[in-house]
Amino acid sequence: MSRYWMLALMLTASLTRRKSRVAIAFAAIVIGATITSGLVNVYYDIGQKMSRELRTYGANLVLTPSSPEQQPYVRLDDISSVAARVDDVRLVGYVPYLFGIAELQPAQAEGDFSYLYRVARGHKRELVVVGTRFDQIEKVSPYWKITGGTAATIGQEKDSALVGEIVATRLNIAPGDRLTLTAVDSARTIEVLVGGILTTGSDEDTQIFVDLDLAGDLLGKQRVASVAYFSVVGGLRDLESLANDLMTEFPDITASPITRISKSEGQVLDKIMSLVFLAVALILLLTLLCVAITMSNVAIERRREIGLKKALGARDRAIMLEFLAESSALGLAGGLLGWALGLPFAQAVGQSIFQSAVSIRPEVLPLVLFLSGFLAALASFLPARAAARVDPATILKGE
Amino acid sequence: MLLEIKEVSKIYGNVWALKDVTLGVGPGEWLSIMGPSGSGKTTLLNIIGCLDKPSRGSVILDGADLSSLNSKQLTEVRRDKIGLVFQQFHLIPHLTAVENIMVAQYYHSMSDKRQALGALARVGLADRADHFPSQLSGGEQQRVCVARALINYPRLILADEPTGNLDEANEELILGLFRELHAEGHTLVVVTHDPDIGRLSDRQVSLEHGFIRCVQARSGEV
Repeated sequence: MSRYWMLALMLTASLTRRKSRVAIAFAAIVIGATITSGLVNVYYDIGQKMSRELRTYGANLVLTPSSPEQQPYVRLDDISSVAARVDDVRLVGYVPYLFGIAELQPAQAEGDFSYLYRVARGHKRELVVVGTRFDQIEKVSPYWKITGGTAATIGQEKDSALVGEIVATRLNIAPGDRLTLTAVDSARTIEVLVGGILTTGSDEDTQIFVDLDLAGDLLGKQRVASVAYFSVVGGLRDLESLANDLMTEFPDITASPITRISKSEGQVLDKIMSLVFLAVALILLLTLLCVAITMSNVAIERRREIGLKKALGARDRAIMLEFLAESSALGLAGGLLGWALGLPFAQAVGQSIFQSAVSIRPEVLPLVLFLSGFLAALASFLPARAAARVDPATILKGE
Repeated sequence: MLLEIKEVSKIYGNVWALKDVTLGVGPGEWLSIMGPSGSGKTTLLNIIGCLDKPSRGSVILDGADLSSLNSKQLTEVRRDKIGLVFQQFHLIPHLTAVENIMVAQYYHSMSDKRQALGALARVGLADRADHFPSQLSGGEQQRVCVARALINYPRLILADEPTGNLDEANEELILGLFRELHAEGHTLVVVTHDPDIGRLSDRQVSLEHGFIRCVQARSGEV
């Protein structure tokens, strides 16, 4: 029988056949490993989760034409290519806007048009028409408040329109009304059915939103957009890097992160991650102390056994090796159990804070095993040294 | 001589636990060390067993001067040349009888279960190999302890009150075992209060206050 086999037999017997204080150390390791496993899983996922959470504040990356004087629009093909270029996991949504000026036909021309169209053209019935993709609105601008339906249901009808609250109030427009819009530049006309009234508290309240293709027909601008807003998971640095890459790959566009959102997102993430790191460090420190105290008691408890082994010829090094091997094995077993228990713990944290599941990272297992094994061995080092110094003569004195 | 003790003294502060003890043990001899509590028996046994060092004098075991060795070298001598039998058996409670013997093999060189089972059979406990100490009687535990002491073929067997914790029947069993070992040529040094063991041995050494009071051979010669 090899020496390692006998060592393994002695360790297994020690851990499984005797009731010992070691159980307390094991419990401490399991608790430490559970919390570490749970929090590290959350830690790995928290960036994505928090970023997705913060996406409710709206888009954080905007695409505009790189040379507006020569080419004032971004091609829809380029926008689609950019969307395909952004990793599926990171892309929350994107929405193109095509802006134009249209004139409301006489039936609805009775109201107050002042300030609705801020670029003075000297015509009273002009207002801003925006072509968009209604099915993307909820993803990119989840804070939009719409009465009369959702953006997605309104978008199901090709000729539906979403009217800004100020326009609706000034011109007495309500869901179900039909509007006739004539492009100022081309005199093309479209007829739309008001599907809902939009409130954002911003410029959108003074605009009319219609399907992008319909707006293209009205304005004579097919398959282009004035601007595209992207909602992408990631901090400011990620977005800056992405924007640079996109501008290299698509020379016709300028990609700019909306820094006021991305920057604060990064700061919040940094703070939360520091907190998680601190919590894990404290838990591990407490585990270390608990294991060290318990193993010191175990060393005292086993003085006779250690004395016997030394009387039988065990060297100090062999006694230390046994002690450290036992505590490392305890650490690894506790780490494995703690890692497993940490998975539901991570899910509980994910559900209570982010209302969503935390994805399980396989790389957390070796990390938790290493930390538990290393900490257990470290905590047992001084007790092991004390154990190795037991005087074997005590065994003959009947102590 | 297998063991030569020359003018050995052990001093703790102002107390002389042993004073100028000179003694020799030949190969195959059975020596009993007797004396009242505090006479220095255990101190002498610790020194012979490489568990302690004398303050003065020298101890030569199988040609090696123990007084010149460091603790690591003493551990090696103890491991390779000495088999220990204890009054309280000192079996590891969570290991079976055979595993207890394999522990001694492990620290010596390599564990060999077949050989360990053979040692148990030698002391009449082949059928108790997988029993834990708590499942064995005192006599059986002491026999396991003897088997453990024999497993690495020691040059010298040191026993500290080997029958001190046994009833009469088990004492008989152990004494029978010691007689067999002696007959096989093993060298035995036994510390005991038991006059029966003293009578069975080749020589009895009586200690008193750290001195050798008398040496008595089996023939009755003083």
